[in-house]
Amino acid sequence: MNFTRRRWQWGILVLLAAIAVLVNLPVLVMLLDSFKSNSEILLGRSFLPQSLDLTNYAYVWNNTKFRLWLRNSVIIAVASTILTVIIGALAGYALSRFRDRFLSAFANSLLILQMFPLILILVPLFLTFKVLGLTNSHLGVILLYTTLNLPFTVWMYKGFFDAIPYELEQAAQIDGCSQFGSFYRIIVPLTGPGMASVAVFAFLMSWNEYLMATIFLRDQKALTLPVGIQTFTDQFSSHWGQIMASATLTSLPIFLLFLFMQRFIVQGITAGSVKG
Amino acid sequence: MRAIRALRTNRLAYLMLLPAILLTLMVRVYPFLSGLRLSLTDYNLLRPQATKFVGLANYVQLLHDQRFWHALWITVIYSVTSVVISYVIGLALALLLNRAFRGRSFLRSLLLLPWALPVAVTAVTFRWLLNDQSGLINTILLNLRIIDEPIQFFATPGMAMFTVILVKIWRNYPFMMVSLLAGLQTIDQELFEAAQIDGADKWNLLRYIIWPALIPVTVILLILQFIYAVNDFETIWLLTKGGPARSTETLVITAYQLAFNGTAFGYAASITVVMLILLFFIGQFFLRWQSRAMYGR
Amino acid sequence: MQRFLGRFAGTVLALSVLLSGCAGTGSKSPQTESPPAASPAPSKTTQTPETPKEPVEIVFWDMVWGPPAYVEAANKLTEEFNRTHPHIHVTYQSTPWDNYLQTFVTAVNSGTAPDVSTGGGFQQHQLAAMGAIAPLDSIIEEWRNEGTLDDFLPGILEPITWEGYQIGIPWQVGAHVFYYRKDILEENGIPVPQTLADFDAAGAKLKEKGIALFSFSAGDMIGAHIMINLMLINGGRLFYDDMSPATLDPKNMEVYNLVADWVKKGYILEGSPGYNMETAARAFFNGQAAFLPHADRLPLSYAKDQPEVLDKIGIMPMPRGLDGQRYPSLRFVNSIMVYSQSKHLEEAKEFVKWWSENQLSLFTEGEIGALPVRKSFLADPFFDDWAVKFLTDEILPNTVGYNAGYPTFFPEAGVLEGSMVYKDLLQNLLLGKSPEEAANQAHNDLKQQTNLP
Repeated sequence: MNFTRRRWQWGILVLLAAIAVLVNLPVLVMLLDSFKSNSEILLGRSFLPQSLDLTNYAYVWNNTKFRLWLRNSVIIAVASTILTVIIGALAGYALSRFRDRFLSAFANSLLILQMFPLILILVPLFLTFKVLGLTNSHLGVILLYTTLNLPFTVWMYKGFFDAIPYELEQAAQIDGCSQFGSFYRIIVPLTGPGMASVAVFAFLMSWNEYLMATIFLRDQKALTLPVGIQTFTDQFSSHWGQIMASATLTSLPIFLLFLFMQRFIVQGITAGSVKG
Repeated sequence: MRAIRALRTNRLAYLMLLPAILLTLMVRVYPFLSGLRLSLTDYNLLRPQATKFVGLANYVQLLHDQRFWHALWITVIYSVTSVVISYVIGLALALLLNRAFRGRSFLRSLLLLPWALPVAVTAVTFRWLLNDQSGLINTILLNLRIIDEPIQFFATPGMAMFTVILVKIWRNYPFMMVSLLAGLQTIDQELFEAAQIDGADKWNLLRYIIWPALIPVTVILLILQFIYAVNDFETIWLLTKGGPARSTETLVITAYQLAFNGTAFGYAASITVVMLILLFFIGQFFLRWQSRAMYGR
Repeated sequence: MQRFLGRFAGTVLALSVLLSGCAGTGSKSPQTESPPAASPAPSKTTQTPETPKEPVEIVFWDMVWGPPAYVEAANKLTEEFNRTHPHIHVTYQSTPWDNYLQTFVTAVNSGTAPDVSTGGGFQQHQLAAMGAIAPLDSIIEEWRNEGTLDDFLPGILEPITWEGYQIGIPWQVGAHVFYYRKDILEENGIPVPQTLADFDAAGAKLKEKGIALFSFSAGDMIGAHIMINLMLINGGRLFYDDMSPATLDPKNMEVYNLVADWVKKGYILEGSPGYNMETAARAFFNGQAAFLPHADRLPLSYAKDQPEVLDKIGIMPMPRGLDGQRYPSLRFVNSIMVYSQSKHLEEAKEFVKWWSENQLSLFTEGEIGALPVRKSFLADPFFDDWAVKFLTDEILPNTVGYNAGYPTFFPEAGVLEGSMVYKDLLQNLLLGKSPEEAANQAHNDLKQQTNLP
């Protein structure tokens, strides 16, 4: 590796780092403002807070329902992620290994269904859920999120499975496995990274989702974080210190998740969109 | 491309597909059909008992509605601009990231953050950052003497459009970047090096090796992102609510306003059906472009 | 083309299979869920005669009326009720304002409405038109018998009726007022405007100093109120007697032309189209404008972060119209309502009565901007400040709601509020559209959305 190449590499590193910082300016502001009092924020005198004052955090953690919302978000996100992974894997496998008119039609219709703006199926959807007793419950939202994730998940899984030669299942079946057994014992373990990335996507979507949550979860005990944060914005003014603190806390799990799991995201998108 | 063994369908396939189908029926299909039916009525949320079947009257009214055409135009500008620009940015970053170096993972996750954070959080933060009273951006620009009056990011149609597109690009580019990076990494390294040895410069590399490899990813990516942009409610709503004076009102916002603030649910439903039809055709356009680009050139 | 057709056919095939299956269930339309007809049924408690051993569950959806301190105060108040009424257990739910009307309407349509709620000013009327609100006349009767009925401000209860029934108990009232910078007017020798026409001269003088006349929060729902207040104090109105929109009424057009004139002369602060309530107030505090049309005491609560401003701002008397006459200005009343779907109407009403009588703490601890509707509350030393005095003595007695011209509110007023038609009108004027064009657009939008002639 010659000298100019290394300098070139360093240059790129610096450039990317600068871009990363610039792009995350809003996030930085959110973080820094969470340590400021409301008047400090409004006066906008300095970028950095006067001190690492944790008052906002203490207030949010102790005096609001934040912990409850956190719990709800975790339950809903984890459950819908698990469901998405399972149902998506089953469906993706079926579409990958089998063919007929109906299956093709279903595969094609996934994209179309993805396009429909959910906001307007609200009333009929709500009524459907009410008949099934699913409104105001975690289960209803979990099912909703799972379904919302489905097209993308099935797509990705189909891609993963397509990339795995069928010979492996055949070999397993010769050895005595059933069709489903070969799926479960041989193929599924091979999609480890793929599954991880599906899981991360599903978790992300469920954690961040606002509109459906605010409509289907009205019970104060059932609110998730994005909805709960809105209650800090009352009809007339905003309480920026507390909003920023709760925003930071809400974003923290996502950031950590990314730090450890972003490897899988890239692998997943590889399998999903490249082979798509 | 790849060999797929298509087996005869048996019960197992349908069984495995069953949960997905059930959910899709219950959560997407039935409400969608209900929405279709709604678009043929004059359902008003305030007086549901008085609903009448009106056939295609809503659609006819749509074609004559200035608000609809304006919103369509805004939707086109918003989606095309944000998708194209975030694609270009994503591509540039992907090319830069496409070498192994220390700290790449960390940088990559930092660059991914705008996509990952809840829009309910980021939109509010941007509204705060860009306001003209104590917003950080204006404060910095004023202090650096780049401007001598605060920029009104939300006050005029042009600037408001700029702002919502800017935020959308900010939220979008990471997904583009990661997808394209994945696409880049499937390019055979040997092919790459062989071309370099043969004396290909950067531009030729890009055009003859990189770009063709990226076409499949690009098509899927653009379709998906375009769909998301057209259906994107939260970004615009939380920033400008479609204002000022409807200058950032896309079809989705119009439909929402008509349905839930104006209670004209039937009419609003017809707008979404039209949106769906348009998206369907655009999806087809992209797919045909892909097959032509890959096979028909 | 063939691939396209194939794909399309595939989806149509899939859909048609499902369409045939769903045709039957499609008839389960929303209206079969909610009780029919417009007149709310008189309260009748249902079947079971035995007193329940378990406390009766009441669900109360309360909007967010103030900062987190309000939610705390409300939770405390609820706990106190639960403690002193062991046979009833109220679950308090803080409901965000985002999408609020649609949340309630959806809940009503699907049979999952709460027992009690507060809401937007016209919400009870909009929902009563859907048959969703229970009459509260029995509470009024009880107060009358107890002799406490006239604790309420005069004329505050009557508009919250529908077809002869009391459909809500008002609990807070807010008036739209003009704040002004006493120091800026003094420094520049500008007298406080007495009529709408006086603003022109003031604007010209201020412009020389580079100060704007008005800071409008036109990017927010209060933008509609700014417009409507200007119309009302000029003698305009929102609806004609037959409930058709009066958008194009000559008195209203005068106001649109006046605002367009102000815009042309550069009297309106530049950022107004995008300002929300808070930002508009901040601009006003920062001395960029001399007048701030706003809601009751809200700017004062914002000013707490900038205390040096507090003694520079004041509320001016409501200006007279262009014809020199003093017309009633805009006010809002928010009420508590009970839902006819409730399975425990008697207990719900008991709670509402108690809440209305004991909610002073919401004001004293909850940092609300509006004022209570009970004279006894207003007499509390907490309200002994100049702003409250001014509002109650000078402004409130001469105010009217959107129902200008009618004795009660009505659902279309709620639609007007929700549709933000007048906010759009103001924004259009601020962006330079001609008054005729802007007014026509508003008129057509309103007709379309209220299904009115």
